[in-house]
Amino acid sequence: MLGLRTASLAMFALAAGGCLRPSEQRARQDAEIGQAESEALRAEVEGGHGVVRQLEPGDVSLWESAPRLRLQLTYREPPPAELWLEIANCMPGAQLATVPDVPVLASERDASGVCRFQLAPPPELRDLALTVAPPDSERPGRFRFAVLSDVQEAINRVQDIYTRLNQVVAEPEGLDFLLGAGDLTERGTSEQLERFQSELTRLQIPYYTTLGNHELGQNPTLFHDYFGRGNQSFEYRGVRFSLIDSASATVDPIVFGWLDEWLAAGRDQLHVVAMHIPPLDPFGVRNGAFASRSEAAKLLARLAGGGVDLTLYGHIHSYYHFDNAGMPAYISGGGGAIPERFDQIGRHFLVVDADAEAQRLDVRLVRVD
Amino acid sequence: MFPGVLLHGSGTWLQGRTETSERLLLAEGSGLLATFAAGAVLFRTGAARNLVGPTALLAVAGVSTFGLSLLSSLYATWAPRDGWGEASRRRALLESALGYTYVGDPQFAFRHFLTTRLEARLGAQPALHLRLDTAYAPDQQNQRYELLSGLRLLEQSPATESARDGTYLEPQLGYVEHRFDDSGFVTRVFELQIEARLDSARLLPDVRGAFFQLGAGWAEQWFVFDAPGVSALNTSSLLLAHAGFGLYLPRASELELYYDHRHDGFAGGLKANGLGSGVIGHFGLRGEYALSEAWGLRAEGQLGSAWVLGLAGVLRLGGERAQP
Repeated sequence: MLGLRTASLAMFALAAGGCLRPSEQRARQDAEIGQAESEALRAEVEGGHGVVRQLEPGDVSLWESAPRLRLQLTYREPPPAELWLEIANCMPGAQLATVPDVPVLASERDASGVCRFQLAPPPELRDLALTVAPPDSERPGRFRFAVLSDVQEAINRVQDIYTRLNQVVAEPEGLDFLLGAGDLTERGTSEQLERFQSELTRLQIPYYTTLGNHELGQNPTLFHDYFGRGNQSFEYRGVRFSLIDSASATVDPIVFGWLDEWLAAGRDQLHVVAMHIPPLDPFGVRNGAFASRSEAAKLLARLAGGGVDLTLYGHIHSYYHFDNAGMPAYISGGGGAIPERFDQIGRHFLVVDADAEAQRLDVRLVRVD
Repeated sequence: MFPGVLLHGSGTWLQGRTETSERLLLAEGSGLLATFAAGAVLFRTGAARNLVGPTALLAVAGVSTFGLSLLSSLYATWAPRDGWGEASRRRALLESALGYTYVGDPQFAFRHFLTTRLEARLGAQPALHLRLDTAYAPDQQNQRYELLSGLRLLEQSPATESARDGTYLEPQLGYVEHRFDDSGFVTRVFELQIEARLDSARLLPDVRGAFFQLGAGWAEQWFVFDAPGVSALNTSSLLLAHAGFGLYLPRASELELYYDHRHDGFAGGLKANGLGSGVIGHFGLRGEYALSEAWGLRAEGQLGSAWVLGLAGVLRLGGERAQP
């Protein structure tokens, strides 16, 4: 009887612990992203900026989740005469650089956004560092990116949005990539995640995203197999981007630790932070926001103290522009999921003009319907 | 028991208590109807800003009515017909409490709080109700102050009533300040709400010794950010709603299981994966035990974004007391 009571108490405490940190498992999964190992070789993607999909001595395949990808390959035996590197969701104009210098026999980027490189590694090669990025990705300058979230059940109509995005890509200023603030799918099933990726092949620019609460329906870490880390940070043309997993209306303490590092790294740069559920809902009685107002304020104080210049959110299926803790904030849930009525907004996305040298981020709404 | 979970009042129906069964079934049906109606509006309008306040309140009311009718049904079936106790015969003029609260919040370093309460009930009907609560974490630079004033209406005087009834209605005005100096912000809340207690016998004539504790209101919360390089102010509204099922226990004691929709405070809202993320408030269990006419104990546990467990010693002085 005592054993049963102790077991019940232990289970209750465990369940309560789970309630307090529902995104802990996902944060721990993040730390594993970009690492893969086989008998012949080991791969590690710096910053977890890519998901390793295939790891064979002569064939390495990844999904890229940031504009610059640095991959370290370590062979335990002589590599094959040919190495094929395939990178899905690759930046247009991305080039491959290797250390040590290895002959690149062929390279291409197809219409679906997959870059393929054929290399001829020498037999004595054991460690190979590869960087795949556009040549100007480290040079501060002007560029544009878009923001889209909350597609969910509107996946059948998402090509309308991609068509409009492709029109923006064709403008003289161009569009470098699309940033996602979560809720790609209805339930986060593997079929829905695959469908979302297959629809992306008609978008002419890469898509980097965090997850939303709708991705947690089947398996909370399934998203990571397809799109990589829910929490990550990267730099592009002098602007730092940090994507935060707030899909459970909270940010795990592990992520707060990473965030401090990213804020320090972005201290002297423009810094854009995107997450799905906003810390505070501009219409508070709805509370489409963090479960704890105190945690919300803690996060905002941390972001503002870290010099964040722009915060981007999804979750609420409308468009809001406000400020939080002095930082400009935009909610853009215009991917087509059940829209907020009476707001006269409809499907939309945001286009952000970034200029690292002028320290400017200008946001505008682009309507699709 | 299981028919009662699905069909509230089925237990009392088997006991031949038809009126109680009908009312419990009606409460269950009303709760479900309100929940589905609110859900349909929220779904159809995408939680539109102009409708979400009253609709969310309707949703909380619906779920709460369902939950309260379930607990009432179980209580009515299993508890003694007169319950285990009755409403306190004491209306103290002054009440003070000193206690300790543990807050297990993975987001904050604070854990241990010294808590105090000073409460006064001034005048007869209606009585002016004043309350000051403080929670202080000496080492973590975290303090919370809650000031509440209310006008206690419809309350029976313990000196004049023979049958005990704890029913009351109290419009309240409150102010809360919570300082998170270590984290660089302070929150201030100004709130308006109506709190009410309804003894079970008022709704279910043959169910005595229990009560429904209810509250609804609105609050505005100010976030004052004050950290190196940050000086900003944000405001956000809060929907206030409370629904509890309580038991009167022997020795003027009571126990209440409740849901509270507040997202500020130590407990915050319950964290959940999926569609409910961020929306749900917290749950709690509160108990009061009278050691003597003057001395007592109060304990409370809450589960939301954090675990909160508190215990306090209570001293009551003066006021009205019914003759035994």
